[in-house]
Amino acid sequence: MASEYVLEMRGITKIFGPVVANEDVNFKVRRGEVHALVGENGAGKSTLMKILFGIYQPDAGEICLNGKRAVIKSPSDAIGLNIGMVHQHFMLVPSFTVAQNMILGVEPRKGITLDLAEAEERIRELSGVCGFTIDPEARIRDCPVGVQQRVEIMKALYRGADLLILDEPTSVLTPDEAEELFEIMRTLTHQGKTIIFITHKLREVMKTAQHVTVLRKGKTVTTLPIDETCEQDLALQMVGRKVELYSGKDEVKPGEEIVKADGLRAMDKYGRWCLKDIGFTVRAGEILGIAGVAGNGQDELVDVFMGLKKLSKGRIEIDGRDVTGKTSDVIRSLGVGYIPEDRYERSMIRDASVAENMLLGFERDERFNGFGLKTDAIKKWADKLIHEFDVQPPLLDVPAGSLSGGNAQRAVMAREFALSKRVIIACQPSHGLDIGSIDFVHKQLLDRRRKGYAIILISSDLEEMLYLADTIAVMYKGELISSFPNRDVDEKRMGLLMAGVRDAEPEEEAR
Amino acid sequence: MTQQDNARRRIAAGIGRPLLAIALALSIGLVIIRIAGEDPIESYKALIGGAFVGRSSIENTLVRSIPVIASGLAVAVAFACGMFNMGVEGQLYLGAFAAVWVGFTIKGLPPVLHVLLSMGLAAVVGAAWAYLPAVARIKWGTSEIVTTMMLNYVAQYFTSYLVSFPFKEPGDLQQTPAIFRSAELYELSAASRLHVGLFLVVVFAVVATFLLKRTALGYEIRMTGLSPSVSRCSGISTDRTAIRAMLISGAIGGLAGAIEILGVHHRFINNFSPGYGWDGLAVSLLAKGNPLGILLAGVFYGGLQSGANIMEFATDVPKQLVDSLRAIIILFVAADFTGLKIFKRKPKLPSGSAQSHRKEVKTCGRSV
Repeated sequence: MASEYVLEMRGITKIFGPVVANEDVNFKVRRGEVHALVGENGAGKSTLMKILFGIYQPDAGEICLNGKRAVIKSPSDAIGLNIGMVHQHFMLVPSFTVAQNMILGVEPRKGITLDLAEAEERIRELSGVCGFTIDPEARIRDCPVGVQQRVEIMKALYRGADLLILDEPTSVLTPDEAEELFEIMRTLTHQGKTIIFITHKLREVMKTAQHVTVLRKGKTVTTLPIDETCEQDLALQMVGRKVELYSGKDEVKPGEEIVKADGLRAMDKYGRWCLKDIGFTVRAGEILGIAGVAGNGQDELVDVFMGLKKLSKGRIEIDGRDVTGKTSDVIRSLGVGYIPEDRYERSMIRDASVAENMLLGFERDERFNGFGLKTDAIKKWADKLIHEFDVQPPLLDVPAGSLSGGNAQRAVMAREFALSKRVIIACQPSHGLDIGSIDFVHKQLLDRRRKGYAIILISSDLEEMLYLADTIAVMYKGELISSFPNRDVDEKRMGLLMAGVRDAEPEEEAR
Repeated sequence: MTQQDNARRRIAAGIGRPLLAIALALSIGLVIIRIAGEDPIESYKALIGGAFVGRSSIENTLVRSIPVIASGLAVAVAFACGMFNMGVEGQLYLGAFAAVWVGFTIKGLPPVLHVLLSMGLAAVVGAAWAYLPAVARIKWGTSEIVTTMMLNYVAQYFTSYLVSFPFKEPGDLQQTPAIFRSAELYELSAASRLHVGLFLVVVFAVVATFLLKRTALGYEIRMTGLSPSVSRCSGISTDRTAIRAMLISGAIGGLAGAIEILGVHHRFINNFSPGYGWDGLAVSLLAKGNPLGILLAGVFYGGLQSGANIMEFATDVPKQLVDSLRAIIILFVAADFTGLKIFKRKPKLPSGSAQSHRKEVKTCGRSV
């Protein structure tokens, strides 16, 4: 009997050393549906998908595709079985054209030469199927992120995928682009493709999926048709307890100006302006939100601020001190806490122990450094920090790389909050975190706001921005194109601004 | 509990892997000797006996290990910071020459002071020699692997010139005059010329351990080595740290030369080093940069060298066999590194192997 399920994963168990990543997980997906897979970080979503895509082998359990048992030993097996995966981080060659990327590894040949014409023909054909068009001759590096994602999707289809895994696809998109992606997903399912949609954002689940499977602590909690559940219910299932996201926020009266930036200009490594005349101020007890789609100069702004990148022009003041052109060690010594987006590139050393990581930026502090490092004092202090922020497991000697995303972020926050005196820069602080941890991060930031810290929040998550920020500025192509008090915006207008549409509404004012 | 287990496992792996590499190399040596038509058991008996059995063997081994251990420590400090100091050999030559120069030009110093002064200048010269490539790396991104290596030739030929012309002792040999007694390192044994340098390198190893594990600078060096980007973002001046690590490394390299020459030769002899700096590199690799491990690995390497001489006397196996063994050991230790990396990378590259290639082409025709 031809199964109505295109995919059945039964009793999947995967153990990494002492960690059970998947325990007896059951996951069934019907043909032609969008099936959302949700769960907190470390719930086992990615492990499950990596097993499906042949990157890991399960310790127990079986996978059936179209009712037939399948053994998937490698990603190429998976591709052979018509499974396609679009990773969160795109795997494209920036200097190649769309067509070249598409055929990479599966080049059509004419004799001994490459048959690019054939490839471009097939891409046009596929465009019809997907409901979107891509110029096969455009270079990837000139394509916006949304388009690159489509290239990834089409790449999977080009390789014959019927079952598509999309790993947190909306995390890099503007709200509008996300809408377009959902439209594409609908078109594809109408064509008989099946989509597994991994996400943290429950609203997107409700909007796009027909079924949703919730994982918690490596186990399947439930699989539900979408009309039998709601966001609150899903959140409860995911976390296992009640979480109130975006609960209230105190009124805090902003105090004196702590951070002043004026006329900041900087160039990227190709000699293009990536910051064009940026100016802002942040006052004590204020959260300045810098919204925008990733890649519009936010990273560079943070870099010049933290002294990691040279300014061509402009001036930065912290607490009345001119810090223009100072290097990161000076800026850090002034007590600027920095919570970066990319943990293992910027804030946590994977191969160093948790205790060693908690010492970063403090190693010259006389509390910990006399004649040699004061090991006991460091231990005690690190222990205090990770307990205050409830880092699990509360061990000091394990490598930081063994912590889950949420716990690593807690550890980073613990350290940075301890280091910061009055200023905190937080970049996508809840990126990739589960609901419980997001709530924690938000509460901590609001707590610091209450204590009179000047906080710069950089985020592409609109919901988070609207909740936390007192003032919101939108960054587009290296400029702050608009800045306004939080109460004056709605999501729609923000979405337009983030896409670079400068509206003519009257309250636009540059501060 | 588990933490202790982890630590124990790590230590076991740290010792186990090099031992495995050594065992594999020795078994390959066995085959080589066999093919050459000699008796492998007899040869190994001579090799090991000549290295570690009896007082004079042990003393000879230790003499050989002293400069190797010091060089190994030099490599390890730079490596902890992610810098490759391939220039220990050159630092060793220049350091040795500097020490000798102090030793034969300054007269009438009290013994300890004279030695300290000699070694001090050697350290400074070694550090200066390592400073050049370090700065080139920081300022212009020049690969320090290449520059340190190239500077070895400069150093070696420069000292060759110095002992051939300006500082040549009259006579046929390319060597400097002997240093004054006050600059010599105290001799522990006249027969083997074992000297107090042995204790010095042990002290160096302890100091290096303390430096790396228990000081703020050492912490910064290690963190910079593990992740320069995170270190920089955390406010560690990675450029300055890297330069400091290279300075320390170069200083130790210079000291290695000074100890060898003040302890054994008592004068600078042209091309006196049979590659101590390179052996240091090997030893450091074998011990994975652990200073105490370098002590053990250094003694092992010294033993191979001194045992090889005995083996050559006692059997017909030439001592060059030992060079092959050392190369094979390093090959295995290094292979272990890269092997792990390939293993880790594999899952991340879904399409790449020739195998996946074919399958994808097949599916391609089937699609849509």
